[in-house]
Amino acid sequence: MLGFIKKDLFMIKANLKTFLIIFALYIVLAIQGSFDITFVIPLIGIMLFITTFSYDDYNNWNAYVATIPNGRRNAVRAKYVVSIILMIVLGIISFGMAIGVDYFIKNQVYIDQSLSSVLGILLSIVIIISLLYPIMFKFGSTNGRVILFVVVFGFAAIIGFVANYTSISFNTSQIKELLEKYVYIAIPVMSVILLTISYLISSKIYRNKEF
Amino acid sequence: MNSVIEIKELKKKYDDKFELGEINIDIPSGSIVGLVGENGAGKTTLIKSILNIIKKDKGSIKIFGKDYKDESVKEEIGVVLDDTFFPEILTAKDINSSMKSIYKNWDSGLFFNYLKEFNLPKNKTIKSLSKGMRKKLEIATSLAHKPKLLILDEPTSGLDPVVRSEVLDIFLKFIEDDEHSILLSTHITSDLEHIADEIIFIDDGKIVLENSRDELMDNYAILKCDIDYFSKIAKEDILRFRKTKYSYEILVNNREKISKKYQDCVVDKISIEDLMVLMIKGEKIC
Repeated sequence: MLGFIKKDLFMIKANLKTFLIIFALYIVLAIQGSFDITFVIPLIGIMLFITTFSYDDYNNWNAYVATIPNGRRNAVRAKYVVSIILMIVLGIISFGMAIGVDYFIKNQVYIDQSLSSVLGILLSIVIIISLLYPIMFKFGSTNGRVILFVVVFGFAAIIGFVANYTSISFNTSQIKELLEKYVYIAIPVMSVILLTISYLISSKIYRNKEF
Repeated sequence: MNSVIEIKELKKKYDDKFELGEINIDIPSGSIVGLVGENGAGKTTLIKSILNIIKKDKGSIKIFGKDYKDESVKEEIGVVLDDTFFPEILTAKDINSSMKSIYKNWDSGLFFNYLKEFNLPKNKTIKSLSKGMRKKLEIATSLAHKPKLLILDEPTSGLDPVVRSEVLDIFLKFIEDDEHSILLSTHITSDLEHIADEIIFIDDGKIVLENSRDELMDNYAILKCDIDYFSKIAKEDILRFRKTKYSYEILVNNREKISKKYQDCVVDKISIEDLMVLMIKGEKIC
């Protein structure tokens, strides 16, 4: 698997300049208050990593993977492992930046608030990639993203319809309360469960896929 | 000689449009086997089936006596696929670093030697390389883990004649070891005339002819005659024929016998290309 991790990391390195320019732009906007800094860094980072799927598709890399020893298994594993490494690294950077910005602008440090904010955004990213990766492995990177939008908006539309036109009500405050109470345990546990399920589905798809 | 690839009754169907027929192939170790056929004949489908890139519907494939899905088998295979490789934002140096963590026998020194031999840059991205340079990089990558078997889909396409000759020399050097074998598909049939031991013609998903290169080139021939003489040719001597504006070109077997039998006609030696064209496009006598 190490070879595949290296390959994905080299692809990130090749796009590092683009990463840094976008980061710099958003960090300036975040400092000005247009964005929450804890939100920007991990999300942009992981979105740029997702472009590696496009390069893989464009160069028919996946057919080549099938000819490599344990390629089908390790290529999928590497995508998840690199995503987790990225989330941890970007989460730490993001947390550090949030503390730094608070210190320099407000002369105060909000460790708990920044940490739960970073964990919250990391959970959102975990949810996105847990849904997106199996879809992209199944349908390819371009179709996958379109399908994800359809699924997410379709789901939101159904929830909206049910909430507006039926007597069923969604009380999210309890969930929110529970999450806030057990944030440091609940988010890592939920992330592990979601990523494991997603990885198992992706592995099965990729193992049986024809290229 | 031991079999390197043993294929029995292989079948693969695509949406009712194309079917790879019941393919039976036995490739002995120490040989170079060339797959020829027109576009869409089934060469790539066959190669992809052998490499488990696509799933076969029926039949068995063994490589080095093991089931083709056995992951240990892949350590021994070097692959060049048509239009399939590393993402283009990577460099040859990145490929070396990744591959040495993938293949147990990856030899970085050997890889960089091939780069030097092929005049390939280490630090330039794949997207900045020409088509020919990319192909050379793929060939270097396929050889650097010291495989025993090379499976190559159009390995010389996009290469100029000088580099093609260099690459063919590398394949011939590779095959000097009796344990090494090559299966390659190509449109450049003259390459096969230089290096192949055996040639397999595929047409419409089926093997239409399979023989050693020497036997094909020594025995098969083109008999050329005018339209009037055509009726005098015995039906059993005509494998295929093609009518041109003023004459007939007839594919015949047993060149020596035919030359003696039809002394008024020209009986030319055949090239693999002409053989392929006549086998595929020529008409049969019913």
